[in-house]
Amino acid sequence: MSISEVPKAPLRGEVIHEGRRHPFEVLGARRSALEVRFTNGTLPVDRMEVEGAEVTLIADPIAIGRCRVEGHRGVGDVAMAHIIPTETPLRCDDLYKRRLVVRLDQGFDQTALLQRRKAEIRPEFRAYTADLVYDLAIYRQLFDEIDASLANEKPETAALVRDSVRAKQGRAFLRFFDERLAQLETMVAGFTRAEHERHGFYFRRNVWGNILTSAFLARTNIRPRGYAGDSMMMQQLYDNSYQGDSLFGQLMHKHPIETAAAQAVRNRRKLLVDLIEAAYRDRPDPSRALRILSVACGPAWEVRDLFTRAEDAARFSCTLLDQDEEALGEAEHHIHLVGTRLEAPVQAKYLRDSVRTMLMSKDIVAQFGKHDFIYSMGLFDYLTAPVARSVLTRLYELLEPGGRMVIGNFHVENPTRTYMEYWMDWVLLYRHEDDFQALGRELPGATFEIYREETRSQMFLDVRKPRG
Amino acid sequence: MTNRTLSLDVDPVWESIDRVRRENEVFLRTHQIPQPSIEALSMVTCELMENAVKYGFFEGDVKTIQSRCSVESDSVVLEVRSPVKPGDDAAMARLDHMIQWIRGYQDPFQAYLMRLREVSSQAMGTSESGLGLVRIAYEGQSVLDFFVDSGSVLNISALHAVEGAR
Repeated sequence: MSISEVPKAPLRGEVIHEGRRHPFEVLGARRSALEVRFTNGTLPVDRMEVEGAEVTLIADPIAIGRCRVEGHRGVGDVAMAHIIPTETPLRCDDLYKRRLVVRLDQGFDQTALLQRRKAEIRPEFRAYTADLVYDLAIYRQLFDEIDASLANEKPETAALVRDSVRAKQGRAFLRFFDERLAQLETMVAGFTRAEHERHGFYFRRNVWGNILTSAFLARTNIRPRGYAGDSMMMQQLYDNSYQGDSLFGQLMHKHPIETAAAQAVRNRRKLLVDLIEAAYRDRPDPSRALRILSVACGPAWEVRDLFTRAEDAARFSCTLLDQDEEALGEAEHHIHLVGTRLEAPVQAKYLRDSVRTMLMSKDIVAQFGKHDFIYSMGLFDYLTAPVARSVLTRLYELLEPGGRMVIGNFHVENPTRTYMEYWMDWVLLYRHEDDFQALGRELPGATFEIYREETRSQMFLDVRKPRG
Repeated sequence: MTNRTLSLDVDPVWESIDRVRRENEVFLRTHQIPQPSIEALSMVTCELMENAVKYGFFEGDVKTIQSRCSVESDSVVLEVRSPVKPGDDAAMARLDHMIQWIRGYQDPFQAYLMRLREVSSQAMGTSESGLGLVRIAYEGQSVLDFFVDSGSVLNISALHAVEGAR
């Protein structure tokens, strides 16, 4: 995890070398090195390990041991250097950004704790996992052999051969994967929540090498932006193609994006466009554009799909809300491109906020405006009932009379649930129809409809506010 | 029919933590919640209440902490409401980040390990370890969530699935 906290005061320190103190200020950090400026203008040593020296952080003195100082001259002949702790390698970026002294090898302290955990794993599950790892290794080696044999081949020829392998042996591998997944589902069907957690953890430790071969599985597990379902994952789901450097990796990538849940994500994108078009036809005020609010919008591909002709720019006005700046930036960039292509700028507003804190707004309507169509996909799957109820109530306040709100949530019957939890480390809060509708029980005058898309994984709560 | 929600309104003092814990325990027992769940939820109650007493801002209109314990068909939801300093967006953003991070793992043990590493590191001038929240997820077997309402009251909740329910 990385919690980015901007340092409040400069971080300073001293290198002690041959009895003399050399003060420095930390300007930045890489994972294992501090970027410093020596404030007395001279380097204590250059490109050598400082035997017996120590670096002391003045604000709260902490010796970080012997270091190597690698100097370089900055602008205006300033004495700059990288300080690399060598006696005890440290996570220097955490030291700089979070004021935490974290040893790079700190995880080794937990070895015994981790090893003890396997005692809580059921023997039949261990056997299943061991067999699976073995079988995956067999497939991996076979596909790797084909990759190796194509290493010096013309790219066009290699691509043709890979297509053929993917179509035959690749498909057979995907079926093998399906079968093993079905066994996993049967095996864990009666587990308690705590057992799911323990076994999932054990499982991922064992198949980690396989997870890393898949661009999609690696991303769901590592979550570089701090959450699952980021815009890159959405793009991978929408692309639904073979990605990766190796045949095995490509297949391991393709398998999870062919699941019912992945298809549900693709289905809802299309469904949203249809729903917005329907809302346009039925709009309360035909004299103006339909005002749309997307909450937790992500890259908002469905909004791009909405604008296909120049006149669409005048039909819709969008407000996009997300906590992820990167996702908002992507949405803005692509929607701008759509406007350029259509030679008609799209009316769009981009708001960065978290739904959990947006509720504190005293005048939410002044802040976010009123809308004819509000939707949110991939958000309520993470909100517990008290939060979901509260969010829904505030969003309803933002709905114009006669407006419509559509909220997505994965259904408890999502057939990809075990796959998501065990392989992807991706846990959602699933709901039944009754739980979902109960969230809106207190919305004044609202009428509800609940339906699912084709795969029946994704459920929608369709809320209508009475006119006038 | 027995009331399935216990609501308490208490002063922001240390003694309130134990009072809420005891009353929740009795309430949960009345509803035949299994003992391991009662123990887990007692710990969760203490952690949430302690945070409310420690970090609540009681200089505004709201002077008390509200606790709510609701027994649902397959789960128990604990909610603790306490006022936060208006405009302290950074603290709420940190809480948001921390809760999303904890919930990012299928097994909270993983978050617990990561957090332990950091707590055992030497922190410079930091007072919030975040370990209490991780314990709620790991030892308390509960899903954390929160929101802040328009009166600057933080509502933090823990959803505990009763054994057998996924």
